[in-house]
Amino acid sequence: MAFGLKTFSRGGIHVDDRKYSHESPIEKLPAPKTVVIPISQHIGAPAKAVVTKDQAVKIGQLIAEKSGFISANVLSPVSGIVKAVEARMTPTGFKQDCIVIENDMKDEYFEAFTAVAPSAEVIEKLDISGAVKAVEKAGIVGMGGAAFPTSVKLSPPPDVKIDTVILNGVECEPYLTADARIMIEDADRIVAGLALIMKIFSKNGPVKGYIGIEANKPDSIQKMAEAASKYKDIEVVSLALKYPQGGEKQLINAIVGRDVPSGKLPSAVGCVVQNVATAASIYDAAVNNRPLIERVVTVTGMGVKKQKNLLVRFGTMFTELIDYCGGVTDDASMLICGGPMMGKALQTSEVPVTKAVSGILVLTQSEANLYEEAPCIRCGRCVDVCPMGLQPGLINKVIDAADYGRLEELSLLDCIECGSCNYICAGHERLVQKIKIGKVKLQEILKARKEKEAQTKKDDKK
Amino acid sequence: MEIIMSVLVMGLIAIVLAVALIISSKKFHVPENPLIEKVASLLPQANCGACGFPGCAGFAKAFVEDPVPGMRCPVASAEVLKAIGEVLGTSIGESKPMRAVLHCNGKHSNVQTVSEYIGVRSCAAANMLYTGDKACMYSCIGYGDCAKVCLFGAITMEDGIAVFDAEKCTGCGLCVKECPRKVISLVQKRISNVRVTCSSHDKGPVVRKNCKVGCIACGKCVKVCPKEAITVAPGSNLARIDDAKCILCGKCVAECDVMHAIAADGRVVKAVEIIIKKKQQEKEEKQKAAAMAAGAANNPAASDTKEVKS
Repeated sequence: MAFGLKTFSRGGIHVDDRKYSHESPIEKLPAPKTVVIPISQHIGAPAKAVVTKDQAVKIGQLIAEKSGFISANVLSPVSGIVKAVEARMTPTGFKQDCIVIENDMKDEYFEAFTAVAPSAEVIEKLDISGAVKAVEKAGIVGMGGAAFPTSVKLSPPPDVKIDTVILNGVECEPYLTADARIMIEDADRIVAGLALIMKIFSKNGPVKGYIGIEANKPDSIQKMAEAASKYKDIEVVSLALKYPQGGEKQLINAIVGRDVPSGKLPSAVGCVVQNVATAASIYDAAVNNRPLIERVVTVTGMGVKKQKNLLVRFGTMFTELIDYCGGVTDDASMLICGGPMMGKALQTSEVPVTKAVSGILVLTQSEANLYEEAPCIRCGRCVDVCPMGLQPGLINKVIDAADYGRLEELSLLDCIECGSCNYICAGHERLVQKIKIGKVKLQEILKARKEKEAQTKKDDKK
Repeated sequence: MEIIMSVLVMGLIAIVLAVALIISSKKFHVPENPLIEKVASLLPQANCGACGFPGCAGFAKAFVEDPVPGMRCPVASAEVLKAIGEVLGTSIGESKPMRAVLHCNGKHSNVQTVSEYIGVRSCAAANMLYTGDKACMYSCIGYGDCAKVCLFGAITMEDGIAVFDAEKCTGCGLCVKECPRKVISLVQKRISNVRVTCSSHDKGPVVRKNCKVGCIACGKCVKVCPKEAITVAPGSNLARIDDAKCILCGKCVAECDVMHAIAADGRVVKAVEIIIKKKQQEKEEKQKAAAMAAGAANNPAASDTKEVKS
């Protein structure tokens, strides 16, 4: 391991990175005949469908409008006819309302766009007053996996001072290489996006930009450093390999050494973190008026014949992506949406690619490493590796005992569900899944308490 | 001499302490309503918390000191409630005994299994992850969260669904609260119960594809019910029986002979058997009559053809 590289201070694990598809360039998947677009692809209130059956739509046309402050627009990724608005299976594992569009293969755009090549001069000259609006219009959400609406992140309350913008090119999840490939092939666009974000926040004082990349991607680091050298105040930081470095709070700690307080957002310590792919699409939206209609998805795992990085339109079925990669092998046994650490196992590949899908992972029986659960031996390794300083083993026991009220003092809501404890557990206990149950139960308790407090306040007033 | 001294000293200490205890017990006496203890001793002592208070003692205290209308012990029998009423000198609101029933018959033999679940064996966990390993996304998940919370041992898991023991069930409702799929409900404890054993809001063809015994909302039961107790709410694709209106005649159970999505237990089962038998007899008689009529009409024709053939 390289010494002297920065990394976060607390916990973390070393996982085998298995970046099989790192060398394979991004291939453009032909637009599918039919796309299925869930109206809720982001965190927050689901968007409201504004198209009806049999309506003709074009690329970039608004098909579902944001409803609420934390919400995002959904645009049509193809031109064609709306076939249905109905509940379909999505990568969340549940049925959700989706807009089904039949592609007429004409690829007509709803609004004209430009193709201004990214450079420092372009950003300097750009009037950024309409940039956040453009991002909102284009329906951009965080493309690292959490899918938080980007326009909300870019417009913090006026009293919050941001002095650091960090681009997340860590991609600490094993297997996934989508971000790494974008950084190699599209470095200029990403760095221009970062400069743009910095400009948006620079009205409250100078802003410094960082791009965090783990040291296992030397080619990405080199390309990004070349692109960054053309700009002022942007630095590419090579980080030591440690999971979960891509967590927002971990990355801030690794690069600028600040600790985000419990329950607060990164803006509390003057930081904003964006994914590299998000930065590229921010540039496209603000400068070129280009809508967000496609993303890079890694199709990988030993369960597929060829591991590839594909540029696909939203709404393309997982099946089509897997078929393009030569289909699954005979011993494929598990399908995961996202990375192996935080991704979600799916029961069917008949689900569409959404804004949050960074990878499709097909694992074989031996790769999936399914162990039987065994009792906790109190070795305490989960406590050592927890990047948030929690006690997963104890939390697990408290949840088993259904003593949900105690979870609050154990700071359960700080858990980022990174799966480090699960990975290291000698008893192979399903800690994260238990913690997810605990979170729901704890939130129920907190909500009931809040309501009760509000009620007593009301009574006191009377 | 030494022995006497020690006895004296110890005795003196004992007397001093006893006096101190007596004084403090008188001075710091906390007056408690004796009724609370009496009521608490009458309660079932299951400490299940179904009443919303921390255990039976908590309920007794609240019940004696600050009774709120509608407050009740869902577990106590009618006799217990009557006894408590006598203690308090009031007739407390009669609590109808209830029991829990499952609105699903998604046994592994009835509903398709579409994936293998390897996570935490808990319905809540599975329900958070996806629509479950059964094809029907409304079915009982079958990992027994309800059985785990039941304090009376009334729930067992059999072939992927929860089975309720009507005798043991006290109607406390803990399982109803715990079930993430909401397929359990409370009904009156009567000689028997008739219920739709399905919770699927999917349309008929989808239900048929997923499950052998799902409700397809055909509405046959609605027509046959003499008390208009069965309804299919628009858009719900599911029949529901209003337990208060149901008179346990069993006609709907006999009528639902394709999907078998209405179930009865207790004495109604016999009634259903009689109705089905009667129906079959009628059917057979009809068939016989039809066959005879057809035979009478066909016979000459049949002999004609024979003649032609020969």
